[in-house]
Amino acid sequence: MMVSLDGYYESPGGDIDWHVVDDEFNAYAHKLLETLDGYIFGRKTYEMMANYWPSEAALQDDPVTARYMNSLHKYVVSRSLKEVKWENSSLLGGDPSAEITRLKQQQGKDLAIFGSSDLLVSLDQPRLIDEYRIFFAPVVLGSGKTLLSGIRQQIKMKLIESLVFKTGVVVNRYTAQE
Amino acid sequence: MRKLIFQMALSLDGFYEGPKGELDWHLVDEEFYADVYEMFETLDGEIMGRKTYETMAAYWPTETALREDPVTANWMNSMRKYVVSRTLKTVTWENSSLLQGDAEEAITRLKVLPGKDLGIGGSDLIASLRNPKLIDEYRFLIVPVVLGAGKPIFQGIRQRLNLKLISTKTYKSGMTGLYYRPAD
Repeated sequence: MMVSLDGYYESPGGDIDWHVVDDEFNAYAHKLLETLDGYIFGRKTYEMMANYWPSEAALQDDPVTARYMNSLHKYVVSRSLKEVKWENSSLLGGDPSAEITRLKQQQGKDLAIFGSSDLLVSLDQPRLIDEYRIFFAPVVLGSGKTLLSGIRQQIKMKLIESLVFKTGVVVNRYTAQE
Repeated sequence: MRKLIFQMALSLDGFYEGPKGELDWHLVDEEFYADVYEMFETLDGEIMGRKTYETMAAYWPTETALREDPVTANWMNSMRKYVVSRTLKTVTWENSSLLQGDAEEAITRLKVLPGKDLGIGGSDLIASLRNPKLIDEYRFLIVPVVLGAGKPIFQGIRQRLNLKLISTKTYKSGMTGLYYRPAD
């Protein structure tokens, strides 16, 4: 997830025009995508992604990512959606934490949750996620939607690695502690 | 012209204090103190808003502060403190004075005086500035914790503040120092 220095992942209107994406960022993302064979999304992230990645615009602007996004399996957590139409996507029925635990136990490459701050809050099990990657954009927004807003208790993290992109984006990788 | 430097510890979700002003999530160790003491050497004054002034003035001159962290306490008490406030009539902490008139003009006047760099503290003070580019360096210490609630840094700032990364530092504690200057 990319955040501003004041902890927002979206501007008040849902804007993410302050995200800093360049070749270096895309190369990092593509390398990550190679290690994955599925994503887990909350409804909002799913709807945003399903609207964009299958489109002509996405296939033109960023064909590599578009191909990954469309072809890898997408698991969607939602109480309100009855069906999902994006190719290779399915709804996770039942208890989301139990379902995610079951997916983690299956053979295969890693799974990723991109964004979906509300999903993580609703799961209420910070240690279900093995690694958090936070991209700090070099900007203070002043208002917006705060990362993991609504979590019930503090999450103490352990820093694994800190990387700097040429654009000034800093990528910190963390694991959640007890 | 001497530099004006802002430094603040932040949680991963962008809070500088918990909902009740909690700071117990800060990671302070020897490595952190060594950097703070080194920074003290480069400064000869600190500009602060009323809230920061009141918090500090109530703590650093006390016996407790002098016992627990004598280096910082001595430095805090002896350095020059400039307080921006519309409501305070007097300041009683040693070596402190009120900045009269327009805060930004007063700060600009201080910057052109000869001397070492100046620190500036207080999230609300910065958010209230018409021109946050008055600050030459923004140093954010990112503490590896998600608080879930608290006071967001620079809440109410008039417009987006675009920054340019100067350097970073990784502390053994897992804290990361992200150092910026205002973008052009």
